[in-house]
Amino acid sequence: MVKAKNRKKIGGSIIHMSSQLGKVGCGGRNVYNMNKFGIEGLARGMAVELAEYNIRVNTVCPTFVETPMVKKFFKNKKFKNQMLKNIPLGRVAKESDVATAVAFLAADSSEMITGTSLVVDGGWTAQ
Amino acid sequence: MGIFLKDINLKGKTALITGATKGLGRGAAEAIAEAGGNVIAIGRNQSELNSLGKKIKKLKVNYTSFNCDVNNYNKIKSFITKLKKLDILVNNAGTNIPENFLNVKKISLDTILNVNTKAVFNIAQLCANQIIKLKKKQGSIINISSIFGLVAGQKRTVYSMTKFGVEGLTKGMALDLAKYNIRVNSVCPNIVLTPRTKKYFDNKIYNKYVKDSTPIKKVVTISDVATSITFLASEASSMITGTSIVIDGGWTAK
Repeated sequence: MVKAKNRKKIGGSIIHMSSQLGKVGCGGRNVYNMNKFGIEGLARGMAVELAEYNIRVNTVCPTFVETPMVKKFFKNKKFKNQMLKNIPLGRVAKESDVATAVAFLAADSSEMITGTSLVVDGGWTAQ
Repeated sequence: MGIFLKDINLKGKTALITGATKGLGRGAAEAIAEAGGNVIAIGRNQSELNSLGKKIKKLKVNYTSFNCDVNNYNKIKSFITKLKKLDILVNNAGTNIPENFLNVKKISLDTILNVNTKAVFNIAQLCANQIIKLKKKQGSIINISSIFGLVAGQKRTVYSMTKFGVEGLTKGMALDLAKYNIRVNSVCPNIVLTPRTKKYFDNKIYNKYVKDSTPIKKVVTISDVATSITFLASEASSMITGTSIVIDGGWTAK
């Protein structure tokens, strides 16, 4: 990777775990939608305010991830198939897919990325 | 578990980069080579293609160059359709002619539309077809967009029209190519300090305008963008498709 240069002394990176449902709506997920859209707004406000301290603030917006919680939801095969149909790449995200995005935003390699989202959704929100 | 950031490498992968002799394209070529990827550079300046080659060969990866204008569809088609290896496209070649909307010249309109949209589309289509023809299990296409693909800027109506178009193309391609496991994303940098933009940054008023518009108060460098391109090219981003990495120091967050 290309090394970041000229980094200011004070600095930091804050990563909010948002969701693809911080970008688009989903039936049966209204309150979750409200929370995650809120986090998207919070990240932008924080980014503008904390920029003077060189603290970057971003979100990661994954699709369904292979976590114990999602595995439980996916015991309902009908629900699972419905959700997979919405992911153009045709698979759910692995934990590592999200972890690499988090690490990327934490590292100096993203030192000019702030107030935005890294969407890890296999194309869900592109439709 | 999948691949983690520390495991990023592009060993054995081949990337085609347009507009590779200067600025972002050159930075992307060097970053991809540093990550172990082979480079196919397309550009119009032979001596710069040669000097890039010297630098890249030192990194012990393969280097091929092709001197061609991206507008020359037939010439570029005959080159891409003969490639034996191709995994990654960095669809970078682009141009801009800043003019007020009311005075945009017909020739400027044609030039910008041809390079930033038609050539971008054609090369993406040729490369996607070639990656599929080579029976690759995965591919990654990175279109170089801009913050002006997300918001407007003064004297940039045509440029914005093309970059908003690139954003649309990126999402549409991502859907059509998902079944081939070819991911398509864009990077949206702020105004980057490159050899071409240096003359603008030398102007104090312009420099102040960019810094004042960027909450983090720094100018985006070529390496800032090249790292994002390398990330999107690698398997570390294997679930990222149809989206954009915005590298703007907060410009579009406000």
